[in-house]
Amino acid sequence: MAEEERRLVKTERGISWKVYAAAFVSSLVIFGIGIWTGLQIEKGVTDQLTDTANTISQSWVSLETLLMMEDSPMFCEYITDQMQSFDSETFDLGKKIGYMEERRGVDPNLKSEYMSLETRDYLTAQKINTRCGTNTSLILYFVSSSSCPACPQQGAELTKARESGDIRIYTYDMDIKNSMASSLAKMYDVTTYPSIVVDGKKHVGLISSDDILVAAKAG
Amino acid sequence: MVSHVDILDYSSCDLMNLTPVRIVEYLMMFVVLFYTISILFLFVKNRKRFHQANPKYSDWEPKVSIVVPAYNEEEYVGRMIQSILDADYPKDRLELIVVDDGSTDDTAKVVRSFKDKRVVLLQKENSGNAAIAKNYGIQRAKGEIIFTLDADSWITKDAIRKVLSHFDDDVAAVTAAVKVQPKEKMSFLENLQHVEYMFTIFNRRIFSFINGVWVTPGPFSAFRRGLFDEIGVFDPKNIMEDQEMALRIQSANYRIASSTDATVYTAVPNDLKSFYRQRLRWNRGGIRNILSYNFLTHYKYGDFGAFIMPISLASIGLLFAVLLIVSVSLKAFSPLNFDVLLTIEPIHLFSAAVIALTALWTWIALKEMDASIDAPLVIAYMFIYSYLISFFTIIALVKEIKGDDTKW
Repeated sequence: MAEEERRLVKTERGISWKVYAAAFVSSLVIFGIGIWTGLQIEKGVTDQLTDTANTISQSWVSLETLLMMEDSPMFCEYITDQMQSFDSETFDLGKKIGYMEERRGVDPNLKSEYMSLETRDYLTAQKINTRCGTNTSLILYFVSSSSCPACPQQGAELTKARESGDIRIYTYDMDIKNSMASSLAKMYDVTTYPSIVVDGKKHVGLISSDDILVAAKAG
Repeated sequence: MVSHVDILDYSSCDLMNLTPVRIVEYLMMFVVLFYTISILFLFVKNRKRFHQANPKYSDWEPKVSIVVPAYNEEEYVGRMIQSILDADYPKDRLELIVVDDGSTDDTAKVVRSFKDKRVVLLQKENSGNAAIAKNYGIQRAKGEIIFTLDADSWITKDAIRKVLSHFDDDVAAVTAAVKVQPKEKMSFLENLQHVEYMFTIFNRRIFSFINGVWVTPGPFSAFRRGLFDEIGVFDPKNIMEDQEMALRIQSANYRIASSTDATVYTAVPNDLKSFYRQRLRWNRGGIRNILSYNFLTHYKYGDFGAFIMPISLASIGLLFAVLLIVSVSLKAFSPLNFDVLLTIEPIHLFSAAVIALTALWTWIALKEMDASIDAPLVIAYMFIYSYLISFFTIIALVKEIKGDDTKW
């Protein structure tokens, strides 16, 4: 079809508001679902960890019974076995809580529960050291998750020290309300962080893994 | 027992870990989500007319000129000329202008071997610039509609008619469906580019419904003669003159239409080095053009100013978002000693949603384009190729910021 030239005219522009509004609302809904699902997962994980803490806590009843038999000749053998099992469970729980805390925060109640478990472990380990003549160094590590720039470094130094010696570390976040942690801090007059107590002797400020090992040996 | 009374209150903020960096990540993720969903909705809205041309222009037969810049193209130029001569279009209304840009091979000889009065050979000294050669041909073209075509490309028999059928009174240019030339044995890289080109045809068609086309591809695009008279010809100083022309058309308030079935086959790089160089040029040119036409980011330019330009300007951020989506996904499912659930955060769920929607988008695009592509290739496209080209874009951005020399 041959014909005369068709003239070019300016276009009339518009904005597809309805499409963008629908897309915006849909994106918000997906975001909402994401947050809701995330919270449900979070709650499920917290419940699971709390159940683990409770199970460990209930198991302490049997251990405490064992502690009453400290005059028995087999006491040290039994208690050491039992403690290893508790240590492993508590350590695993602590690792999970630490991971959660690092990534997205953790329920303070769960953390407090964990600190109570640690204190029980610490007191029992102290008793075993005395009764059975073992030389495991017990280190109390006091931190503040909100106001302690040196704490991450101190944590790394402690981890390094644990790998090189017979050491148990009990971490207390003093931002979390826990009566046992407060009592221990008061007992050793801990007011600044990081502070560590190696076999009953307090060290304030950042301390290297080598110095920790020296202090542990001295203790 | 530990009380859970305060868990939800405490974790709604802590769970999202709303540090400034994380807020930016969420925002970028939201933009990607919004962009993807917008495309899908635009498709749904225009689905019925997706493959339709403009009935008002379906039998339009204006005089057309096809301008082809050629430099040392003796190998391909004959195939290109033959495809034009075979095209279903009235002989008296078609001229093919091959601009030999000072070739040192037998390009001119091959052109002269076609004894057809529709074929015009123009020879000039080498300018080292395709835009100058194109402009040289355009200035001598007599057609009402001027096509630009690459010498190493060729068109299907009905391509000219199909392009013309997408014109309208306010349409200044029409883009064709640029596809990777079929070969007996295609390399992995060529296959991936094939998927990309099909995906691009689909997207360009969607953008054409909101007058959001921002490039008139060199391999085959059609322009009204009057347009060049009004806004000028290709900018020889621009390394992405095809895109600059499209942005200039947008700024002049004309429409660019797009065809899904006016097919042109083009050669693509088949080794990583030339592919990288091509993408570097596209991206650096693209970044410069988007920045120099940032004034188009205004609601008076309709969807182009309110959606396309802001998204283009934010695309650098979007690139980082793409990389972020991959990194957070990998982080969430990396091997750990404990439960996967422990590692999942809302941002992982969002990235999963974005990946799912992108997969849906790709699937719809390839289905609409009738492209039967094997699933592993599509997966490789989504999870390797798209990140590779995003990576190239980031390199281009860095080079632009550093002001590295450009030699193409």
